[in-house]
Amino acid sequence: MTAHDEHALAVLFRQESGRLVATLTRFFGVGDLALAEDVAQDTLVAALQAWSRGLPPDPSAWLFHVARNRARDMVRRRRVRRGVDDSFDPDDLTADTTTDEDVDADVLRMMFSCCHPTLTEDTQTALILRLVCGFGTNEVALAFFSEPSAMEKRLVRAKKVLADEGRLFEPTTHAEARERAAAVMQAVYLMFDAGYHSAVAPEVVRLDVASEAIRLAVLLADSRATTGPAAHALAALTCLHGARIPARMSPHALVPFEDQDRALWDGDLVRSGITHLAASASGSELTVFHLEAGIAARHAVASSVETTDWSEITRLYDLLYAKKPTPVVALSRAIARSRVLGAQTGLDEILALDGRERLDAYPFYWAALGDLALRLGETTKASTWLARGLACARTQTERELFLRRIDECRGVGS
Amino acid sequence: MRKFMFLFRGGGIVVQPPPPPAELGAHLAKWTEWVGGLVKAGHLEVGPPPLENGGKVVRGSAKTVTDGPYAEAKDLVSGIVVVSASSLAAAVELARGCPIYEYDGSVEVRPLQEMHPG
Repeated sequence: MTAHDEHALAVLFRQESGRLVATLTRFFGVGDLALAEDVAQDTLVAALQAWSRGLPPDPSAWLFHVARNRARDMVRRRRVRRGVDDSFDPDDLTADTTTDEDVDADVLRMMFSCCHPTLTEDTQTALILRLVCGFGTNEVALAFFSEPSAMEKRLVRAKKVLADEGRLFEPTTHAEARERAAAVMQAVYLMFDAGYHSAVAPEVVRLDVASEAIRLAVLLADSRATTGPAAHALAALTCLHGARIPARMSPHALVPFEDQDRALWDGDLVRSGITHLAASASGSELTVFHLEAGIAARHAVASSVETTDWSEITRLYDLLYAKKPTPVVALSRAIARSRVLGAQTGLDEILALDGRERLDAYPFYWAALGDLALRLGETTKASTWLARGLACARTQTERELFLRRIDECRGVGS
Repeated sequence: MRKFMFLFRGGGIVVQPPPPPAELGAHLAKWTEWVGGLVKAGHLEVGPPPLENGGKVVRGSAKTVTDGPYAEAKDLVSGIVVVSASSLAAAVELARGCPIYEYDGSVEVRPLQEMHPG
């Protein structure tokens, strides 16, 4: 076996944990979330014990079968304790009838329940990672740049909010889903962002967080109650950005967009991103997801930086900035405009950005300045700016990126 | 070749708090690799199937039955396999490759008596 198998089994256990918790919570009720988590955990431990000589042909079915038996025992015991007026029918659990669609419905129900309006966006996202995606508290803490103990407290409080609600949120129909659909999509968006951009989490956790966000976004886009233009746009956005991950991270360094080997982009994800993007255009709704997916799609279909439709990308950034006027969007827009209007214009705009001071500690602000200065042949300025970027780089991969860039300045200058 | 019983105690199956799912999955991969290696090299003998957790303990002249086993987690028997090896030292060497030590488990290596006919 190789390290790849370790990762594959880690992902399998994590995903199955989320599915088990979601289904068991339906059986036990959201008031007994802790019991559902315990049974899911016991089930995975039983698998560790039983599978050391090899995996069963259908691991998921094995886990659900074992979990169901354990859940049935629990309910029986509880019945004995409480008398017969228990609302749970253990026979519900005996039949092996849980289909993938049932589990998907359970997962959606849990996602919507996690997005309780009294929780902050970050907490909703963290709770989804923990309960729906099976990430350990430490992994969730890493994705959010938080101390494990602080994250544990936050998750415990959030679970109590869910339990106090007394029932799961039921997004069975479109009308029911509408109340929380925006919050759920935002949580998935933040999850993807945490995976894709997080500067602190170890690479393997980041990639898994991003993959899970893609999985959930596609689930939202493909499920009857949650599908719609915005859900398709979100799925498109995560697929199209996700497609670049192999080129962005490969082999073990952060590769700037312009230098990425486009042959490494994941063709399947590009195709499914484009399909979702087409489906997202069915209404008059134009969300931030639409615009970001549109930009990602222009990059995905171009064969090189030179042949990219930068004027269309600039137009989309203008629309995006109107909806989301953050310094980071302004920076990306200025970089796109530099491709249309020239490096000097781009440089001037970046130096004069609104909220520029908020980007002082953002390494990619300095990277953009350095790149534009290099394009103009101003190597002295470029190395000064890249040195500023190096000083605020947050990870070894980012530091290596800046060191390589600074070397290039010397190469050009000599 | 002689036969040995490996008695596993503690480890990922009983450690508290239980490791998160991804860690368990990665740990399982190490077990399948180790056991797969034993099978491939012809060391693994037919033994009992995997243990369930829990059970009962019968103890003393009064034959008291209690829920159990309630040993300390690290002392709890968490699994059994039978292997063949040329010597106790060779069997110990095989046991050293087990991933159970990641979670503070132990492997007790016990030679099985050779059965002589008659």
